[in-house]
Parts: sequence; structure tokens; C-alpha cells
Amino acid sequence: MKPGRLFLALLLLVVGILVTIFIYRSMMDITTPRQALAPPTRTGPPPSGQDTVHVGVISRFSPNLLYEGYQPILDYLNRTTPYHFTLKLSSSYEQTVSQIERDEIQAAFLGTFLYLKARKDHAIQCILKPLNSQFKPHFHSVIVTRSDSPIATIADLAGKRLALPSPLSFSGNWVIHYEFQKHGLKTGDLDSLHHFGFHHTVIYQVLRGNFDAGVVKDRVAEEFLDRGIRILAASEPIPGSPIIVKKSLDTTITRAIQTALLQIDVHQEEYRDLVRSWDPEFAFGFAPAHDRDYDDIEKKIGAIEAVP
Amino acid sequence: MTRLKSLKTRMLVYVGVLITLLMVLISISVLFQWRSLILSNQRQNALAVAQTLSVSILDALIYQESGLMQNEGFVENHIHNFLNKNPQIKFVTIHDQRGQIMVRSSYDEKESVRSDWRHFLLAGRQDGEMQIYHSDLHGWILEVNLPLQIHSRSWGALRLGFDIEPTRKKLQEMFFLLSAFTIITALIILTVIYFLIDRLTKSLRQLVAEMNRFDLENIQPVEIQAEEDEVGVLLANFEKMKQRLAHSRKQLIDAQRQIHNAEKLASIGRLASGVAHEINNPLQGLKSCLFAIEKEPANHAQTKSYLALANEGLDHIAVIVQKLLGFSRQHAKQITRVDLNDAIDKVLSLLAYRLEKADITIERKLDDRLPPIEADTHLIQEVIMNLLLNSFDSMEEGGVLKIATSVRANAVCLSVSDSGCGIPEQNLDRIFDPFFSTKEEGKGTGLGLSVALGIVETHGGTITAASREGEGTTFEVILPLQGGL
Ligand SMILES: Nc1ncnc2c1ncn2[C@@H]1O[C@H](COP(=O)(O)OP(=O)(O)OP(=O)(O)O)[C@@H](O)[C@H]1O
Ligand SMILES: [Mg+2]
Repeated sequence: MKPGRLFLALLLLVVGILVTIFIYRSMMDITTPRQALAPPTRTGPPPSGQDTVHVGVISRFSPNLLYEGYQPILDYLNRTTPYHFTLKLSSSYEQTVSQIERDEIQAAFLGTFLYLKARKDHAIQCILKPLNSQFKPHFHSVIVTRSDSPIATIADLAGKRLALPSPLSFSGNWVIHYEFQKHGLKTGDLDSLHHFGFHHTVIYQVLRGNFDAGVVKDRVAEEFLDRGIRILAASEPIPGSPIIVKKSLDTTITRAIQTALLQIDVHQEEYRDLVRSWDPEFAFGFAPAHDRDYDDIEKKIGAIEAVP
Repeated sequence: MTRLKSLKTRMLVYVGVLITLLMVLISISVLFQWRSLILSNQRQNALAVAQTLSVSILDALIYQESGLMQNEGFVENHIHNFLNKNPQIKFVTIHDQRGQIMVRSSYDEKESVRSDWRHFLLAGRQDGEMQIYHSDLHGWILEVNLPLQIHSRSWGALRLGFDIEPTRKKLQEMFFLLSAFTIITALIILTVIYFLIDRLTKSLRQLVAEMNRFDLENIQPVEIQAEEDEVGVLLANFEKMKQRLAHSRKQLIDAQRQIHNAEKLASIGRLASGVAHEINNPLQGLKSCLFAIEKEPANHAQTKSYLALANEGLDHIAVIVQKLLGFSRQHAKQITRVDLNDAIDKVLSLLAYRLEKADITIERKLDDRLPPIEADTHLIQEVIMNLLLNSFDSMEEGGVLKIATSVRANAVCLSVSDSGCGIPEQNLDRIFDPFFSTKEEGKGTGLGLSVALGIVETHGGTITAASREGEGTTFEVILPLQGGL
């Protein structure tokens, strides 16, 4: 071999080795650059001052579900009104009432039953109620069983185990105080009866088979209709869970809340996108509400409560 | 042979380099494809794990916040269990909204808190942020930063460090595996190509070897098994060519033999006519002497003088015969040092009788410094003889014959010029052909110049003719000094 060729071969070899080393190193270097973070686009919540409205939610669902479903509503209010709203959760229905009492919250998402109880003792005012999927301002409580359950009528519940949500919820009262009466049943006819904190817990207990039937809001039951749950019976229309404010709250704030929420029209594209992440109970918009809207149901419940 | 070998190497180098390059390119792209696949898989995995952890931690934080659960170290316990079950996670820290560390997996670590934590939290990156780096404490780490956040509500952030060293090990293994694969495959392909090319060029090489062995003296049929490819065709043609060559060589030898025979005949004829001419004159003298003596036998005085004349004539004849004998004694080529001038003089003396007969003036311009040449004297004399005879023949009415010699580089030059009839232009090309003659039947055989050309060429020299019809002809012979060897 000529020396020129030898040199060329050596050169090729060296280049090959260098290239291999380069490839090896660039392959083994898996470092990724630290992403440059944008400076904060929004300053944090303003220091709690007069403009901050604390909004309570009754503990009808687990707290993380409440944050998931209710925080975006407050985010919307924060965007569209000049006020600042923060969510304040509670561990029980009663705690929300005591929060109103101690002025820890100035507005709240209450349940219909709790609202009726609370308005007797506190200066609160109902301002909005949510629309259901048929755009009517009411909801239904429903009795659910597992899809494979033999229970066909309310009368079949005799000797069975029944799960209920909070005793301070409408759903927790309606069946045992109202439907049972209609069907000539007594709570004593049941094998067992238990109240759970959240509506979802009731569903899970029924699904697990710990209970034969349960009572929940229709919006919760609908989530599970294709997941092993069947609706046995539904209540008459009940005025939807109201949004209330303390009467002491600045009326301009009250009006701002009403205006902002009432302008939601889910037939419009922009609002449909907006409410997608909201709790399904509020995903169809709102109707204005007045305290007198609940008088009817109050009478009925009064009758219920009169029953021992 | 070397040329063929280089053809083979060149093919091998070109194809080899091309294939190797292709293989390397493919390997590199596969390598990096795998790499990004593995890394993105790792990232997804890490993100999924981090998200799972973040959901439970967020739940715990929210439950604690809303008073549903007492803060009795649930988060710490959870993280502890989580780390035990996921050994690939090196550290976990939970930061509060201000970026301060709330919970950390290990308290003796000196990991510094990122200065831009607050920015990160407030930027509200729902999808989190990921980064791979090397830390002195943990080695190669894939760090996932996830906000603990529900919509705009933030509880802080979760920071997880995944050990990505095994992934790097996997990448390394992959690299060596693929490198080895590339090298081995390239080697295999090169070997296959080598043998393929070797097979292709084998018959070519055999053909070349056959050509090298080719000997005109001893033509033998080719022994190669011809394959049915281009090389095979080449081989067959080579075989045919060899046979044609052998055939024409045979013809050439035959023709040479014929010429040789004719040459012999020609010199015999020339000798015969020369002898006839030379001897005829003295014989006529002898005859007239004998006639006079017969007429007057008694006249003794006259008889005596006539006898003396006859004796003289016989002497002359004896000299001629002796010269002829000397001229034709040798036939085989005998190389000696020959002085061209001497050879010319010898031939001239041999032809003296014809010079006298025809009215021809000789002009000799011989160069004294002429070096001797290595040649056969008799053959050279024959060349000169032929040229002179032709010139005499062309000057039947007399004329001037110029003979000159001169020195050339490593050669000598003889030029014979006559003022004879000349050669017509159309014949000039043919005068050296055997049996080409313009002379009448019985006078010329047409072999003289052809024989002269043959002799000059065997001495490595050249002979050329220049002529103008009616004015004369010049022949020029150039002989190398060492031409006879
Ligand atoms: N000096 C010359 N002048 C004119 N013609 C010539 C001369 N030399 C050769 N030739 C021409 O070339 C022809 C061929 O010459 P060449 O010596 O070969 O044969 P030849 O003289 O005819 O016969 P040979 O020499 O065998 O007796 C001659 O016949 C003549 O026509
Ligand atoms: Mg002649």
C-alpha cells in the first residue's frame, strides 16, 4: 500500500472514531435546558380587604370535587366583576350555617333543605337558582339501585338497606319522610338506614353492594347511569339549590353576581366552553330566585318534619 | 495484474464505503429515534406517576384544609410509602404557595430551592414542567414540577426527582449494541462483496495470465473454462485471434521461403549472366586467335604472338572465375567489421567490364572517416551490386553514376545516383516488391531491390528511392553501425 493510501485510511479511521465519540456523547447527554419561566402574569389574590367576598359551599361532595366544580364559577365571577371571590369549604352542612352566622362567608351555595332551615334563623336572601338540563329551575331527588338489583318499586325497599346523604339535605329527607308515607312504609321496616356525607358516597355504597338502594340528587345519579346505576323513582320537581347572600351584603355586589351569572346562555358557543368545567348542576345557566319561590316546598317539608 | 488488482480494490473501496456510510446513517437515525422514544416514554411515565401522586396529595391537603381530616402526618406518611414503593424516585418535595418547602422526603438533603418557584406557581402550568439534569447528590435526575392546583386555586407545587440513570444505562447499551451490529453487518457485507468481486474478476485475471503466457512461436489453445459472460466472449475472441495469428504466421513463413528460393535463383541467374558476359569477351578473343592460327599454322611468329594473346585471355577468365568464387562462397550471415568504402570498390572492380562497355562515368565521393559497421560483407556487397546493376540498366546510352558515402549519427549512409531513365511515379511504391520488374522477359527477375531491402532490414537499416522520370534516380541506404548484431 502506498503511504498516501495508508495516510488516508488512518485519517478515515480517526474521523470515524471521532464521529463515534461525538455521537455517543450527544446521545448520552440527555440534559434538557431549564425552561425559562414567564414572569407572573397575574398578581396573587389581593390581600383580604373589603372587596373580597367569601363564598361557602355546603359539603355535598368531597372537597376536591367541590374545588373542581365550584372554583371555575368563582374564577368567572373574578373575571367579570370588580370584586374578588374566594371559596370557603366546610366539613359539614351545619358548619356552613355557622360560617354564615360568624360572617366568615357572605354568600353561599346552599341546598334547598338547608336553605329553608337557615332562612328561619339568619338574614339571608336567595338570589339565583340553577337550571337543569331541561332549562327548568328545579331538580329531582331520585332513588337509585344497582342496575342488576331486583328492586322494582319503592314498596320493595322493605327489609332492605338504604343509604342517604346528609340529614340536612333534601334528598336525605324526601324518601323516608314523604315517599315512605305514600307507600305505607316506615323507617323501621328497613333493614338499615345510614346517612353519608356526600351524594357520591351514597352511590359508591350502592355500587359496592353495602346498600341495596340510595337517594341522591338527579345530577349525581345521571353521572352513573351507564356505570351500573338505575333510577327507581324520582321526586316531584324541587326548586334548585339556591345561591344565597347575606342580606347585609352590599347590593351592588349582589347585583353584580346576578348579572354575571344570569348572562350565561349555554346556547352560545363561548358560554358552552365556559361552563364545561363547572359542576354539572350549574352547567345550564341560572334563573333569578326569590325567597317566595321556596314557600311551597317549605310547607311540604313542614308537613314532613311533623311526621315523627 | 496490478491494474486488475487495483480495479478490484477500487470497487471494494467504493462499494464498501458507500454501504458502510449508509449503514452508519441508518444506525444513527435509528439510534436517535429510539433515544427520543425512550426519553419521551420516560417523561410520560414520570408525568403520570407525578400526577397520580399530586392528586392524592392535593386531596389530602384539601381535606386537611376543610377540616375533614386531621393533620397527623398523612402527607408525610403517604410520601414515605410512595418512595418505598417507587425506588426510582429520588426525592419529593411539596412547596406551599410562596414556594417554601412544606414537606420533603428527606431532611438531610441540601437541595437548594429554586429561586423562581414563585414564578412557576403563579404561571399556573397545569401540565407541569420537566427537566433532566445531573446533580452531584442524586446523579442523573428527571425532575417533574407539578402545580397543586384546581383551576385558579393553588395549594403549592409538587417536585419529584426520578432516577434516570437506568435509562441512560439503557441508552448506552443500545449504543454499543447498535455499533456492534453496524460493524459486524458492514464486515459481513464487505466480505460478501469481496468474494463476489473476486469471482467476477477471476476469469478476467485468468485471461490476462493467458495473454502473458502467449507465445507466437508456440501457439496453444486456451485452457480457461470460459464462463458465459462478457469475459467468456472475450476469451473466445482471443482464442480466434490466436488462431488467425497462427495461420498468417504460417503464410508468412511460406512466403519467406519462396522469396528465399527466388533470391537464390536470381543470384544464380545474375551470376550466370555475369559469367557469360565476363567470359564471352576473352572467349571471342581466344576464338579469333585460334582462327588465325588455323589459317596460317606455319606462321610461327604470328602463332606465337596469338598464343600469347590466348594465354592472356585465359588468365583473364581464370581471374574472373576466381572472383566469382570469392563472391559467392559464403551464404550464411557472417558478421564482421565491414568498411563500406572497401565493399564499394570490390563491387566496382567486379563490374569493371560493364563499365567499360557502356559509356558510363563513375564519380566516387567516399568519405575516408567512415567507421566500419558490423555486418555481413557479402550481403552488403550484394546490396551495392543490385543498386549498381539497376543504375547501369537505366543508362543504356551512357551517363554519370555518382557513388557517395557519408557519416551519420551512429550510422553510415550510402547513396547511389544515376542519370538514367528514372522511375515513373506510379511505380515508385512497387519497386521493392518481389518480382516487380519493367525489364523485358529474361533480363530482369524483379528480385534485386526486394533482396536488397531484405538484407538492409536484417541489418536494421533503411533503403529509400527518389526519382524523376527521364532525369535519374537516387537510392539511399542507411546502415546502423551495430545493425548486424
Ligand atoms: N536506377 C534505376 N533507374 C530506373 N529504374 C530502376 C532503377 N532501379 C530499379 N528500377 C526499376 O525497378 C525495377 C525493379 O528492380 P529490381 O532490381 O528489383 O529488378 P530488375 O532489375 O528488373 O531485375 P533483377 O535485378 O532481378 O535482374 C526495375 O525493373 C526498374 O524498372
Ligand atoms: Mg535489378
